Amino acid sequence: MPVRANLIRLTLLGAVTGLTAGVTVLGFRWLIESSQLLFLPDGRLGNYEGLPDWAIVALPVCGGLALGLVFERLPPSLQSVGIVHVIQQLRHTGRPNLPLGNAVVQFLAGAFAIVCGHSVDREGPGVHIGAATGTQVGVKSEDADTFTLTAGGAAAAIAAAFNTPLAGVIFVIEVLGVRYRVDRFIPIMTASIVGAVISRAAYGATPSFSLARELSMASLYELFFLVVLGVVTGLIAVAFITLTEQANRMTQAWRPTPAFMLAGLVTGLIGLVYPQILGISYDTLNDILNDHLTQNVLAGLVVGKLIATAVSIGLRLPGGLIGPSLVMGGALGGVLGVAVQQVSMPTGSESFYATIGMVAMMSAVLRAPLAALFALLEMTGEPNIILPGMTVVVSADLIARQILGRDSVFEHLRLLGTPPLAEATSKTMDKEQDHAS
Amino acid sequence: MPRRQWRRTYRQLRSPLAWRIRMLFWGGAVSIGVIATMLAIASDQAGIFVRHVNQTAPWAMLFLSPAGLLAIVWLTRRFFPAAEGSGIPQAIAMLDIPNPARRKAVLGLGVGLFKAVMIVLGLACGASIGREGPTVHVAAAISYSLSRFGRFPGYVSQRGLILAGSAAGLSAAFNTPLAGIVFAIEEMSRSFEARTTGVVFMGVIVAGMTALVLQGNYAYFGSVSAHIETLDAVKVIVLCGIAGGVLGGAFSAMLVYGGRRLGSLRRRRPYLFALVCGLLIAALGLASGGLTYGTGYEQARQALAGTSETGPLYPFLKLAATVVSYLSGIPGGIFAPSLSAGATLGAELARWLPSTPASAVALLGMGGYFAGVVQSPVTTVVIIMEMTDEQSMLLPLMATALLAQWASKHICPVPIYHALATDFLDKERGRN
Repeated sequence: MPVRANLIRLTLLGAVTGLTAGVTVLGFRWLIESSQLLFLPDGRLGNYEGLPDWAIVALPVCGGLALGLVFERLPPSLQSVGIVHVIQQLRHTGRPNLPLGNAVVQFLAGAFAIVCGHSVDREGPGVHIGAATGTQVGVKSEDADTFTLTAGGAAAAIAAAFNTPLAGVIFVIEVLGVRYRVDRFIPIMTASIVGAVISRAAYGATPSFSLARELSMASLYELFFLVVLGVVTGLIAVAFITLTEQANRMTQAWRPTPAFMLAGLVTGLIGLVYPQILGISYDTLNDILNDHLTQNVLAGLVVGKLIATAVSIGLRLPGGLIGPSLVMGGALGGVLGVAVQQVSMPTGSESFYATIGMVAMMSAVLRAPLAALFALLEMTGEPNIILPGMTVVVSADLIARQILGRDSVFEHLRLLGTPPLAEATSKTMDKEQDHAS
Repeated sequence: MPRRQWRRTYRQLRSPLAWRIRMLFWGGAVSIGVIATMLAIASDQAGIFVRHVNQTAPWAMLFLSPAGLLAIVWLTRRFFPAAEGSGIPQAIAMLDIPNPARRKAVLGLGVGLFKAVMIVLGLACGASIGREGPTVHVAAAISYSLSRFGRFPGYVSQRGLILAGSAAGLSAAFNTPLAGIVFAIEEMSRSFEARTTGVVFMGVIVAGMTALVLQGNYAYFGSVSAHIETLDAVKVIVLCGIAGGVLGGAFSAMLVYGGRRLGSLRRRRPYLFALVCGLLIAALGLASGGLTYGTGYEQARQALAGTSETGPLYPFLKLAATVVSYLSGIPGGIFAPSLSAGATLGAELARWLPSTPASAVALLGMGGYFAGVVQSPVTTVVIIMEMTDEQSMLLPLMATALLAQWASKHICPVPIYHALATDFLDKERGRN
């Protein structure tokens, strides 16, 4: 039957998408890491801490200057990058159109921004690049199939970043807003699996950061602390989203060069006190999750990372905010975890709180509770962490929803729109309205 | 931050009405956790009873099973005809039927509690059934009945309550919180509804925490340590995916189409039919040395530990016993027996693959067969991960589940619970 033949074909294309997306995303990561190794002291990845003070400020500012000068020479349509771009293309009816040019801009500019120490992540660009390869694989397919493959590329990117194939699939549903249908998701899941296989072959089971062992609740009284962690996480997520939105709104009319330079300056100045916040900070997250940091540093990291990332994303640097939200959440959970150790009763370890805080912050910022819990299950492999994790994730999500409504940070940014993209955005909106009416 | 939101939050936190509803819902979720735990303990006792009977006087089952099934079918038909079968089809059917009278007939508190008792009786008679479907039914009934005691705000629809109850029931039944949620989304509503997920999460947390207080932390099948080499993996995935998918699909097809084929016979001679089914169950039990009675938990656990001693026929006997038990018309689920049949199927396949660890093949066999039965790959992967405390098998497990789901579709085109839900609605219509 033709339908089944098509499903097999689409599943094979899904595997190809997973392969290409995985390889491209790994290439992106390799570009970042090999450039970092060229100049960072001791040859350690993400070791911005070892740079002299002047370099900590100069690097992001000069990086912003160079990036801004290049961006000003790009046609406006090419400046649209990141997860917001993917959502725009997946939301409107008809064929998703992720041009190769935008993906190339994202690839190079994203890597450059991260290497220069801007406080953004590689997962947002990864999702864009992965989705774009999906579109390219499906270039000869029908519109609906291209849509599926694009979503599959995004899932593969997330799966490859964290070795979490299921969370990649759920991310596509919750954050990108793709409707779940079993037949449509067979190719997407295939892409996700292949992406994870490739990442595992290259970087092992813990591609980005490794978690501590023995993560579980020690007593049920800890529920109280978990709810507190959830509420604080929710409030911080709200602060982060609001700040990002405000930064974006206030600088709508700015040209890229001053915007990027200001973002670099803010990051650099905060970096003078907390150099850990420069770049992706996954090395720091590793320390947080295995409790190697003191409470003061952790608290500073929460605030520093929050401001630096909100300004960077608000000023439209071509990077993502998933990684920073993981770092913020991990640090916040660590702060509470250290505090809880003072209480005279059996409690879970600091790593336990840090791990849960990490995914809860991601959940509250992206408004993706299920994806966060899947990531938790897949990264820890510890079923007994799910219930406490769910408590924190849901309370954080409730707080964020109560204050900001149901939209994720990407939705807020998408609705604000950015002037250079006005053209593309308005076209999307028109189509959406047509669709609605 | 907008002031309006703060004022709304403040109002919601102060309103006694809102707190009453909140307390009502949490109370419902707590009772779901309690009942799920009680059912778990009672089912274990029933299993011990059957094992005892089987050891002392195996032939007594030839009397006990038919007589017990007869009694259960009579009670079910007499008092709560909606209680037969798994319970999940009932909950699915009632999701889309906004008629309050019919919802009350199927998801009344009485139906749920009756079913909980009957499932324990059924297990004590040696039927090859599981408790998760009935737990879902009881839980959905409790949660749905809450809407009669208080007016829930608009965003908590009755549909949402049914979903939340079902998810909470499944979570508390096996200590698999995430699987409960995914099951409600993937299998029951077959779509992702952001509106209802909040309620579903809340129900799962409270019910799960309650079960946790009562039972403590555990993984249903304990810690399974399985590891598989990459080159082996492809072979095992294909084998388990295809074999599990085909057998699981065949199981679903037998249940669905067999039920339709035998429907008229069962309507005309329900008690004779139950008697024959009881005899068949006892005969299958005797043929397998008493292994096919009950949920099959022990066999599955042994298979996952790599120490299966069931013999190559067990998966097929278990499959047959489960089909017969379901068709007899007694209340009872198919989750646990399917997991058992799948795990032992994997263990038998492992004998053909001496270089691969047996527990890994058993795990993938379980995944393949279960995905073949329910045709919900994500639920399958999550439930097995939460039951076995095992992380490194995730990728092969996902691939197996996808392959099995694809293979199963060729044999049973409609997912089993949805086919059963349709049949259930037809039957209801016939009865009225």
